[in-house]
Amino acid sequence: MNRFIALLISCCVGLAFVGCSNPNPVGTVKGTATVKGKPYSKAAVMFVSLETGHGASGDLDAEGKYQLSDPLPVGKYTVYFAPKSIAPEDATAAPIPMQMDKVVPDKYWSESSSDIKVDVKEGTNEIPVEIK
Amino acid sequence: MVSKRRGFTLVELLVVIAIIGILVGLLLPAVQAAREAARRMSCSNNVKQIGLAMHNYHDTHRSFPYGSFNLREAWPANGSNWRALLLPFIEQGNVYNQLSFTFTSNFMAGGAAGANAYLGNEVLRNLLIPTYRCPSTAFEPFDIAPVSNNNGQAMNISYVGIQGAARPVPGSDPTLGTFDCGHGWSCENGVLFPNGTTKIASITDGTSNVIFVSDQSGLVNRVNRTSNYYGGWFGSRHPRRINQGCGDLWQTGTTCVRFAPNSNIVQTGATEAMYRNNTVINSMHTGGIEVGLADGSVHFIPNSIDFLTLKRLCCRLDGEVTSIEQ
Repeated sequence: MNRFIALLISCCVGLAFVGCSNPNPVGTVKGTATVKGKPYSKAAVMFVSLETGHGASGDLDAEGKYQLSDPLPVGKYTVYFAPKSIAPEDATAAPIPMQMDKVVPDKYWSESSSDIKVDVKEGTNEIPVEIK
Repeated sequence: MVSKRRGFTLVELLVVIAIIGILVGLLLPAVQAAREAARRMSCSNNVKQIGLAMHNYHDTHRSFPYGSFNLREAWPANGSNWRALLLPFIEQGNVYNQLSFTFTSNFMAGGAAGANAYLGNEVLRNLLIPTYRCPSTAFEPFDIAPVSNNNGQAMNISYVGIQGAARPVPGSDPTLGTFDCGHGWSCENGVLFPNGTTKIASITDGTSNVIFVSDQSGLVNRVNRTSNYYGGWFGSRHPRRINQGCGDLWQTGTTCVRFAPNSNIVQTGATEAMYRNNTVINSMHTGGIEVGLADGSVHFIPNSIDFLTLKRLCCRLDGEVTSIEQ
């Protein structure tokens, strides 16, 4: 009887874990952005996959470090810069046009012209973004 | 003397209660799913109404409506989008007749529009149009806390027009789009693009292969990121296509598809505060979104749709006849 109960319990525990293998592996991404070897802080780093349309972003801090807001499904991503998000506008002034920092060449501000392609792997990824 | 009335024992009662509990537990999710199915059906009916209204508009005006338009370049700019133009065709003619499409009136719900907010178009304040609201939406009918320059009590509209798809789209004319580093892509390879109109004849891919309206009623990173900047009734910032590289090129009420449906990406950094041109098409339905095709039909596309297929479906002239049934 005891063996039967033990078998039953182990079956139940086993069943509880069915389907727990991860079919869609994801990776978290962080790293440092540099322009001509110096840490860069005046933008946000954007990761987007041209194949799946999935992506994530992270603001660069004062030391040029970024961390993407969400884990990404593993795969190939195009990296580009976007202006940092700005605070809501003053209720009386006209909208402030967005600014593109001229230190970074134009082509790095869009996923269609950027040539930085990276591979996101399962687990933690440390991906440096280097602009020459 | 033993009583003839025999009661239930505690164990019997507990067993009965447990069985009822299990049955209710089984039933409740099914009831919730049935409710969501009903909401989704109601939502797809709204998309159908919008599709029919588009065709009635086409019969009357010989073209589909402007995606968005601008009447005055100078700030506070004025203009509106297809949502206002379609009103007479969804039995809201009385609202449409109260709108003022002049240089001095305004369609902006507060914010930087200042005193001009809804000047001449006060009817739009607290106006709920049921056809423009998906019952599954995550949002209140009107924003409680004023966000993104909607402090004029404009309704949270659940449907967005499709301008087209962002580059790179294979086959589509690469000149049909302008990029603004902050606000993203404005494109003209779809049906409801800024400052221009399309005829059925110029949808060369065929009307049953092109999406022109989509659900946009879900959350992006738990926040409202719908194309309702300045309240969802405003048009485009500029009266023509301009190439600024980076500036203030933006529109309301339409989106240029750049990201996957229901994705969590924001366009300019992790803590974006504003809506942009490439707002994500999304919904609170399970597993996908309702879209309206240019032939007036409504389809449910799953989140897992191939992204390139989706982009081609959003283009009217990519030269690829992409069917939605794949």
